[in-house]
Amino acid sequence: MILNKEEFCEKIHMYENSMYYLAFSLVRNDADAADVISEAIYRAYSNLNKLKNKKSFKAWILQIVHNTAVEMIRKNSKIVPMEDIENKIQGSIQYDLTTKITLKEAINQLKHPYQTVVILFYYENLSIIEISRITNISIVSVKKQLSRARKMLYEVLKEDFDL
Amino acid sequence: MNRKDKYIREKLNETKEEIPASVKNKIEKTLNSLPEQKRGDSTFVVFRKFAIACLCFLFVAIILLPNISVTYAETLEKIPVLKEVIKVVTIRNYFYDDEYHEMNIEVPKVEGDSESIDFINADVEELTKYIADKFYEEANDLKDEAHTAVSINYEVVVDTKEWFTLKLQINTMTGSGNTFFKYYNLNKLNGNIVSLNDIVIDDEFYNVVKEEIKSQMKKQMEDNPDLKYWIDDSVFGDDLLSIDAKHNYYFSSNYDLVIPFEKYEAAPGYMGTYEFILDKNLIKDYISDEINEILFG
Repeated sequence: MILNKEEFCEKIHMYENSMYYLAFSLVRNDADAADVISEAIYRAYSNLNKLKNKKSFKAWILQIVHNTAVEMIRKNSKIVPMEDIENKIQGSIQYDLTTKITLKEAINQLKHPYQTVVILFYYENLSIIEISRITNISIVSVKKQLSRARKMLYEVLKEDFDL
Repeated sequence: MNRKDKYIREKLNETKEEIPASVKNKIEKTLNSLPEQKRGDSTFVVFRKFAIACLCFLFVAIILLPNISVTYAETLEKIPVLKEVIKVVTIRNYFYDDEYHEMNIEVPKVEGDSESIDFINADVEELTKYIADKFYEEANDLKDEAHTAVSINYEVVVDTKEWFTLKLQINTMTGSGNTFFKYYNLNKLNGNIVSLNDIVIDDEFYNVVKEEIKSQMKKQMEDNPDLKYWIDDSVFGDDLLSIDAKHNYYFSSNYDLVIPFEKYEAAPGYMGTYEFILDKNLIKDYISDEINEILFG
C-alpha cells in the first residue's frame, strides 16, 4: 500500500475542491455531489492497493468520482441524451446581451458533458489525455467537446479579448 | 495553450470558491468513518462491511458476531434431529422514537430444544442488545445534530423437513442508509448450524459460484442499462465480487443455492440489496454428499 490512512485523508483534503467541482458538474446539486464524493472516497480507500503511483492520485480519485457520479445519474435518469445536447449546444448559454454575465455563470450554464470537460481543463489544469482517462471518452471526443465549449466561453469574454 | 485559454484559467482561479460547508462536513464524516488499514488480505473484506454506512457501532457488531458464531459452531456435536416445523416468535421489541432518532428492533426467539437453537437465540439476543445499546449511546452523543434510525426485523426464509433458515435484516440510516443481513442455516437432520465452509468439499466451488454470479450480473446489466454491478469495472476490475466461506447464503424452498449481497457489497449504493439464485446442479460436484442428499432428495 503506497499510502497509509493518514496520507489518504490528506490527499482527499488536498483535492476535495476538485472532487466537488467535478461531482457538481455532473449531478448539479450539493446533496448529490456530497453523496457521490462520499461513495467515491470509500471506493478509493478500499482499493488503495491498486494505486501504484502517488503522483497519479488526483487523476485516479477524479476518475472514481466521475464513474460514481455517472452511475448515480444513470439510475436517476437525470442525464440528457447526447443527441439532445448536440442540438442544444448552440445557444445553450442563456444571457441577455445588455447584461453581461460572468464567466462562472457561463460555465454553470453549460450542459453536460461540456461543463465537466471545461472544469477539468480550466479549473483543474488537466491535460486532454488525463481528461480522456478520467471521463472514459476518447481524446478526439474530449477535443471536440472542449472546442465547442470554448467557442461559447470566448463569446462571453469577447469584450475582454477585444481590449 | 493559447492566450485566451490562459486568460480563462486566470480569471477562474481568481473567483474560485470554497466548497459548501455541507459537502465539507460529509467529507469529514466519511473520512472519520474509514476503518484502520490492516495488513494482509483481510483489509478489503473488513472494509466491505464498513462501506458507506455512518453508524459506526453497527460495524463492530456485524463484524464481531459472525466470528463468535463460527467459534461456537465448531464446538457443536451431533445432536438429536430437530422438529419438522420450527416456530419463531418475537420475544422483545426495542422501540424508541423522537424528533431525531428512531429505533425499532424485533428480537426473535427460535423455539426448540437443542444446542444449536440455544446458540442462535443467544447470538440474536447479544446482537440486538448490542445494537440497541449503541443506538442509545449514538443518539445521546448526536442529540439534535443528526437524524439516525435503526431497525431489525426477521424472517423465516426456509423451513422444510430437512432445512431451516432464519434471516435477520438490519437497517441503519444516518444521511444515507445501509442494510446488513445475518443468516442462520440449520441442518435439521443432524441439528448443526451450517456455514458455506461446512458444505463445500472443493474450493473450486467458490470460483464456480463467482463466475455464475458474474454472468448473471452481466446479463442483467445488458437487459437493463440502469443496473450497475462492480464487475469488469474500468477502475476496479471485478475484485469487489468476492465469495468466501463466510459469505451469507441460504437454500430456496426447492434447494437451489441463493447468494444474497448487502448494500454496497458489489454494486453502488443505489442498487440496494440483491441476490442471485444458482441451480443446485451447478454446485453438486463441489459440496458434501450429505448436503447433496438433502438437495436432491
